Amino acid sequence: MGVRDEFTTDPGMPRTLRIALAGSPNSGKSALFNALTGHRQKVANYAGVTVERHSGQYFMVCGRPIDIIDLPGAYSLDATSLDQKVTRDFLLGEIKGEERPDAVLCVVDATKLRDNLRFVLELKRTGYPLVLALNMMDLAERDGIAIDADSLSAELGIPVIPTVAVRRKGLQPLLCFLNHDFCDMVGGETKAPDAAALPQGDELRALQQDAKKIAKAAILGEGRMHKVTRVLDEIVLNPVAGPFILLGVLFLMFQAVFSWAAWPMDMIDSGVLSLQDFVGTVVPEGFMRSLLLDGVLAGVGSVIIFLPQIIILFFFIHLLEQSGYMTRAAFLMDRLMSRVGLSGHTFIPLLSSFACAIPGIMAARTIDDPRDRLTTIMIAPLMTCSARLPVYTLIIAAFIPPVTVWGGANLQGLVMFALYLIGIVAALIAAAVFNVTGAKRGPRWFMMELPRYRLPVWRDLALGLWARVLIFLKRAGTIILATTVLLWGLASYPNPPEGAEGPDVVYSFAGMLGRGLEVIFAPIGFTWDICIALIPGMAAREVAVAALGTIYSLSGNEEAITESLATTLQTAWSLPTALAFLAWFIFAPQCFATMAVTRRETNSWKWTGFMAGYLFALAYVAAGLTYWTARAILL
Amino acid sequence: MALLESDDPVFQLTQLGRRCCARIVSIGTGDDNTQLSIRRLRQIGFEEDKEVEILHTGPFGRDPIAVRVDRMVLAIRRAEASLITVKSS
Repeated sequence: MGVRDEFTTDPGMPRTLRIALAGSPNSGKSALFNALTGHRQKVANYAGVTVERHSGQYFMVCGRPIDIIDLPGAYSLDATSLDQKVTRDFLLGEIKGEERPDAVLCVVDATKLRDNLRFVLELKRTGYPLVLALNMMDLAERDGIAIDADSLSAELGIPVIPTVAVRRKGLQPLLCFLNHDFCDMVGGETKAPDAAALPQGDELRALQQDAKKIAKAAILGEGRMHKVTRVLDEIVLNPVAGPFILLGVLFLMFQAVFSWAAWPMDMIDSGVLSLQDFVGTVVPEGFMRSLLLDGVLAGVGSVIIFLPQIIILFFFIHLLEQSGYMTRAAFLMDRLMSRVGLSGHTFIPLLSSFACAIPGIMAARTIDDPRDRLTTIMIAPLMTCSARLPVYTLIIAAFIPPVTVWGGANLQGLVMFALYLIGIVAALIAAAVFNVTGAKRGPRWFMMELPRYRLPVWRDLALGLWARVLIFLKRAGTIILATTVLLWGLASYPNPPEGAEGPDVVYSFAGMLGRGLEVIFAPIGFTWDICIALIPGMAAREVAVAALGTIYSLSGNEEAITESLATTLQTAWSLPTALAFLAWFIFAPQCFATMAVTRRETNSWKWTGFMAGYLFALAYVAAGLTYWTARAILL
Repeated sequence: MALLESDDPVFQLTQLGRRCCARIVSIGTGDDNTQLSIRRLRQIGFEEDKEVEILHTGPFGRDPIAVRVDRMVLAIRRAEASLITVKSS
């Protein structure tokens, strides 16, 4: 135990205390962290590694702040994965720039106390003042588990506090402790624990024996397994029904992205149009009007419209994660993934990549096997991310007739489904190729806890979605705005010579650039305007649509501005070109942000370059094949 | 489960039928190739003397399997499960 801090240096301004939250995955640690810190949170990375560092502040009643650091989930301090290593190194004080904590708050799922006691004992070995939060006490009581918190506290020699993190009242005992007894146990100079003091191998087994004795003394009633979880798993993990349910869930998810989003998208569309009308009448003809109408509104407007789809997609992914279904999906998919040398672990990062490759690539951290992790990162961009939706939606609306085929299926929907499917199949093939060509590898494994099912906490879900909305709007307001304005400038100047034929944009800088690139892309059917759109498309994929919007409002007369982009493209592109453009975007060299995160996560320029190279080659070949096949059939 | 003698035959976890309970006797043989797998199994919660029950098997090739270990449900592949020796309880 630490020596009591007498605040001798400056009684008025005691230094800020630091508490580290430790606990296994699914212990409700993050919910407790959210409840303690509310919106006073910061998400960053630990120095040198890419594990997310969540920190926040709790203010004691007396006004004194406590810094709270939410450590990555770990089952043991015997680290074999990156997340666990960060937790271990943090506690050992071996992470650069990180101060040691004054105390550790260990969060344990009370329904699994027996299985977590060894970890508590491991944490005790670190020598920090330790407090145990027995979380999910309500669930433990419901399951008939009886825990004698007092004798648990006596056996462990540390304070034990029952909590229910998802309820305001369930936090009271912990808050009471933090405000009263807590200061008595911390404040002294903590000593960095010695790595040798942490148990390993046989010592871990000895600790396991101690844990067993303590469990015997403190757990009075064993209770039953969570009934809902048992019953649901019988259905969801049924060998026959399970895969169909998974397919159904995925189908529902993508269906919702398109049908639910239609109405808000129309709203945004008409909003942008009336704003354009308004600006058109208020701002006089000239530089400013062109910049606002053709640059800002046409560009940013055509991207903002996809916000509803992105929100719905992220909503489903958060929902699947929070409810516990995501791990069941991994369980069902593991065997299939192992065929191409991957594991069920990779299913979650890959599914997240449908929203955006960046969280997907970052989620790959949870994969223990370094080679599985690398392969997952390499193929993640092949999952159709939400940024590609604007491109797909636009081209499909313009070129694929909304006819009904095969008894009820919408052709536009089928094409969209095919685009997703091609991406998935290509990813699996790529993984298989990497697996065969890679060096000989040791045994692979799949180990994962299937946590109990939980009702989503709507507040956490809403907070998560709000963060996504902010990121998207920030992108629209910065990268996308900047590139569209730049592009507008390039497309507007220099002015065409007197009496020139055709649209003005042909004579601009952008037109010249497009003509230059056309040499490379003409063989696969790309026109000069596509070539121009591809450049800003590298900054963020959805900007390609904005770029086309900018180019076409400039290359026609006033009517072209109000005319929808889809109708414009119908006359500007041939069908083979449109299909080739779609094929290009399945494999499209990813946006700069993806490249940057790949560089950070792999810590290798070689692999980042490899990823860009193989995707570029695939995209070029696929677009070329599509173009020439379509031409041969149609002409 | 019928009550059995203490020197019951031991067998691999993979041979345990669905919905049947058993108790872990040992984990791994100490063979160098499996050291890391054993370490992981112990980390996540497999320990000697804990009760296990096969709850579910995967839809393809009955792999992986979902094992109840005390109150936790853990998914592991058959390859790792074969490292775990159990006896009927």
